[in-house]
Amino acid sequence: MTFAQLLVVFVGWAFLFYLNNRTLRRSELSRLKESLTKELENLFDWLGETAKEKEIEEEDEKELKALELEDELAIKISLVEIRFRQLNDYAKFLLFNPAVLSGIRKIDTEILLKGRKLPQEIHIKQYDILEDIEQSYHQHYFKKSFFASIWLNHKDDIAGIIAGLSIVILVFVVAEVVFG
Amino acid sequence: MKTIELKVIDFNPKPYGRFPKHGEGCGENYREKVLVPALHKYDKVHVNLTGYNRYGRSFLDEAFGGLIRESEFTGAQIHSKLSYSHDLLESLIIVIDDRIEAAIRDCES
Repeated sequence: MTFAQLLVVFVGWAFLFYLNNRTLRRSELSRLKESLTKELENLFDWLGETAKEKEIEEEDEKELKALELEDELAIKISLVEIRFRQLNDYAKFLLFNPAVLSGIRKIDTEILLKGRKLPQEIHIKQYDILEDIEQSYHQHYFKKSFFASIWLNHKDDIAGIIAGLSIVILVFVVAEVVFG
Repeated sequence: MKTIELKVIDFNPKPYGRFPKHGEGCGENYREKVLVPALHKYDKVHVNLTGYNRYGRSFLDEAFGGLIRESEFTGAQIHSKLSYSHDLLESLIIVIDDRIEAAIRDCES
């Protein structure tokens, strides 16, 4: 096998590996994104239901119930935030900016329980977050040029391929020099 | 320059609530027993919130916003002396920023 043939085989394999890897990663990412988006929607539904359900008659009780709700809310938001962080690491780009969850953390649960429903601004926040996620995903996979997308997604793989190729070339050059 | 890093979980493994009636690990206790003495003693104080993920808004508001509302620090002092971080939860840091800014606004008006 000549060097040129070997090079063609190597590049062909590398391209197939890239296509396979990209398809798998994109479908896995899409699945994870959907499940976390659902989790976020459930969080808002739970918050709305809880605000409706908690009937409070006494002033002292109100404060304690608000603290309980705040505690539950903090746990749920933290879980969602940690999972989205892991998703960002997996995606290797900022699919979701965790900072936007601060809008839900800032909710004053005493006011929420008084009103007994989710204020309009929280509904808006919910849609802002969901829209933000979809937009980042779309932007990353569908809006970039083919080469920019390859580079952003596979910097490490490309570096590996270049290093591997360099070693193969070096081995061939050395072999030609030594064995004629 | 004297600096110190404070881990909130060293104060209480489960910080919760605003006032002492809500429990030992409340925001007011943290502010009065830990933060205020540290801010008087050191030039720079860094609060590391890592290790616990369930901080409520009340705890954060009382501990950090209370420095301005109750413990008579100015916004400029807090901005220059105090910093905070959490390794996993970025949104907590934004809530603390927000509570400090809200306290500054309350005191100005």
